[in-house]
Amino acid sequence: MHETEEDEVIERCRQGDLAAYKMIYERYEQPLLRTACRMLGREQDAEDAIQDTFLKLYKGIHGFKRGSRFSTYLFRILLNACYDILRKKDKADFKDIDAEHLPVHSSHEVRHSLAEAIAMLPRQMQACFVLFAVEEFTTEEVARILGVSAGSVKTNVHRARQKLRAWLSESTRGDEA
Amino acid sequence: MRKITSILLLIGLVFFLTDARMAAGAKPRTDRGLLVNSKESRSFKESVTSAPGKTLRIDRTQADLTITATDKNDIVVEAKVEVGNSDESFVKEFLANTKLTLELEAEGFRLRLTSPFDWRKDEGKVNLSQALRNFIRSGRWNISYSAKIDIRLPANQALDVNNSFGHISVSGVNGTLDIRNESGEVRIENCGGRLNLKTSFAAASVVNFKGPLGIRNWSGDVSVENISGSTDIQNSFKPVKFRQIGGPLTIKSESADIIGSDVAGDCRITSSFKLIDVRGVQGHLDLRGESSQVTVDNVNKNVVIDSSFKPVKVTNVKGGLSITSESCGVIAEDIGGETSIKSSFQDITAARIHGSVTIDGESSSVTLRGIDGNATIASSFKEVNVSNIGGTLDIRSQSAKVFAADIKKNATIVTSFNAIEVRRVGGALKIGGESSSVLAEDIGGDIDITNSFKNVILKRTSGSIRIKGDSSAVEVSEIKGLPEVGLIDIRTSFKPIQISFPKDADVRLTARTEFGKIRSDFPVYLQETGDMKGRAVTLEVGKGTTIVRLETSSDISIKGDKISIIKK
Amino acid sequence: MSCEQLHKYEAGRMSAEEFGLHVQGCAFCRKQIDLDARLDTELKSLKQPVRAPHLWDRIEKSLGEEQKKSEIQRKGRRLLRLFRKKWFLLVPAAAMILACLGLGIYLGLKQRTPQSGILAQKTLEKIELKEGEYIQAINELEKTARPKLAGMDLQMMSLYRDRLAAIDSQLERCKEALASNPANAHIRRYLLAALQDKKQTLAEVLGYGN
Repeated sequence: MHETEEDEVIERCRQGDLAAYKMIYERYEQPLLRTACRMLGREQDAEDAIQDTFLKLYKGIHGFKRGSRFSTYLFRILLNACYDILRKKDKADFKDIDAEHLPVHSSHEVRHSLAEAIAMLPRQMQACFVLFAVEEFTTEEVARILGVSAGSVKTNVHRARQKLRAWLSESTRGDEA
Repeated sequence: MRKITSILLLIGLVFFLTDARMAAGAKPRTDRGLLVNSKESRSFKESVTSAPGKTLRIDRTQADLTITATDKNDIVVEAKVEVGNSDESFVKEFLANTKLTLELEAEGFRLRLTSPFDWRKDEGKVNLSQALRNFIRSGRWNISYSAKIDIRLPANQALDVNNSFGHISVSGVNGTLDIRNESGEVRIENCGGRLNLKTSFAAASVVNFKGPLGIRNWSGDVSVENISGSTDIQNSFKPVKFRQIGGPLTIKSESADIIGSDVAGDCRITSSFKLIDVRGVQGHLDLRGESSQVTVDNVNKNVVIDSSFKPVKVTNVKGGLSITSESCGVIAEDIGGETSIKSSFQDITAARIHGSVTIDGESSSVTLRGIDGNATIASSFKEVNVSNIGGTLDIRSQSAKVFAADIKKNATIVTSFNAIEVRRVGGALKIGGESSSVLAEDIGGDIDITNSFKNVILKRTSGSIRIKGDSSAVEVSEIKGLPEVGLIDIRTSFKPIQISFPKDADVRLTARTEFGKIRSDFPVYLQETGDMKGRAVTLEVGKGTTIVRLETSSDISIKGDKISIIKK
Repeated sequence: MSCEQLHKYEAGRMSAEEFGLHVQGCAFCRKQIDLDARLDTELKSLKQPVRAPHLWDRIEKSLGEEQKKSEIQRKGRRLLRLFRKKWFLLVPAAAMILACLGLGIYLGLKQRTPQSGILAQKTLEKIELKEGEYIQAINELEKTARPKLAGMDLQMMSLYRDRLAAIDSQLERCKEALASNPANAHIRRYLLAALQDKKQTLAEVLGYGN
């Protein structure tokens, strides 16, 4: 989809045309799903986050300034939706009757895959790394999405790589043995 | 206007009906008899004057217990009991017949919280209405009950607690603490004396305990921190974490992660199938971890590890190290004493060992670097790579490549079907290499090589040389030194021998070949071969003090090096 | 362990050439480069497509509902504009709504219980539903897990059998306690935890060796 085509689609979205939203979805489905999966660790949560994203997009489409980069806007909404889900998970208690989160006893987690290792990174570092290294946004785009400086993005990506290298080194040693 | 008024009335009616439904409440469901329609609670308070050293016993409770020490001599107990049932009158009667008592006993006091639950055991002793008795007898037992008990007592008091399905928290108490709980967390904080804790299926945590402790927790997490005495933990299936143990530590676990640091005394750990990570032990460390990944760092005395199938890594041990394992990768670095490693099928690496090293590694690659003492290796099928050995080197391998360099004393290497490369050996070198090519350079002592079917190349030797080859080509050059009363005896078959002598060597040489030619840079004399086939020559260079015998069925080449012998 | 030269290079204070020369003599940096290459290879696997075949249906449904809501709100705003013109109608309407709301709030507050060790009826029913779901899942898992367990090597089989036996005994204890104390929140919590543990253990058995 070229930029001008995208502008037309966005204009149709402003008018409430659900078919236009579907075109946006088809274009960004995979990057959105992959990013949300990396942030949240579970496909179910990732789907919830994307559903929230489109709902917020629908409600807030008039807030999108013409001439700005749409992907930046869309991913900013997605990340906020992911953070909301993560915040809710942090606050879960027994009265929510979600037995998956019963705090009866702690467990020792073992990382089995790079995806899980990334899911364990601190949130901002994780977001920078996923957007930059996995989805291949530029530093400036990541900075605009997250509302931070380009320098901060570079530092976070660098630190994430260091941590993941250390993880790979440890898990490789276990595999080799 | 009429239309609008109708709409408004309709809205109001809808709201009213919704609230009326809420007011009526959900109708009680009686199909299962499980119904909590009525809940009541009652608070109790009892107190008694105690004295330091007395014991408070709490048994057969099913409650959350919070026990806190005070500087007063009184034991004060406050309890809140909550009861729920469909029948409000049952609830009230139940509560009315619930009692909290603090009874005097020989060693101290006993806390009891009795209720009509106990009526079934003490029938007739409790004054219940017939309706409630009938209800209890009917077996439709759906009275629900929950209790919280808060106890404040003198700090120097012993505790004997037997509880279930409730959390226990104890702080500030010094005495013998005997605590048994089931399906409820236990937290002991800032206490002292002696602790015996038995619990199950829930976390047990002890922090800042001045004295010895023993914990038995089946299927529950255990966490201990800052314990001044000995610590003995038994658990299963859930992790054990420890930090700052002032005395010896023993952990017996099954299928549980064991992670901890800073033990002042000896440490004995048994677990299986999970991770064991221990750092900072002042005493000895004895670790048994079947199929456990083991990481050990910073131990002041000896370390003994028995493990299998998962990697073992040990670093910074001041004493000796012994690892017995099966199919484990092993890494041992910076070990202060004697080191012995047994494993199989995975890599073994030892570096910076300030003692001797013994390795038994079936189908394991072995890498040794920086061993102060002797190195003894038995292995097979995988590469052996050693360097910087301060003592002797002894490698007995099978079908393994061997690389050895910078061996201070004697080296003995036996392998087969793979190359042997040895460089810079201070003492004698002995090699047995069936179908193994041999390259040896800078050997300070005598050389004794037996091999077959592959080359032998020697450079810069300084002692006697004895080579027995079978179809092995032999090449000896750049001889640095020859012993005064020495011998070079090289016998092979079907392959050539090439030897270079320094121009100032003192050599008496006999060369014999069955089918080949003999070339020499030095003048030679043909020798009578008698009944033997082929040809033989002799030559003498200098004083002829070193005897050289060369024998093959192929060509022999005798060259003169331009270099000189280094006289010792 | 770390290397200053690596930090400099990553911070852009050293050229690739210089770093290349340094790497030749630095085992640590060589390892980091190797790990980086491996990391990049692994990252490629994260770019695999993720399947979510029904996601658009969900999104479309929620957008459709939002559209309807917006429509109702628009109509509500029209009604409000009407009231602004004929404001005298507001008074009796507001009075009736407030009276009903007040009654509802009062009754709602009366029913609410403070945090207690005994579960409210609705909560208890929800928990029992959840327990039922776990038991169903466990029964399903057991059908395939038990034969797999029998086929394991002796050590692992004994381990998992011990673990399952321990969990079963905990389940029995909890059920026994609940028989005479059915709405006790603590016991229910521990029963649910034991069910969760059993489900997880059976899933581990099924996943073993895969």
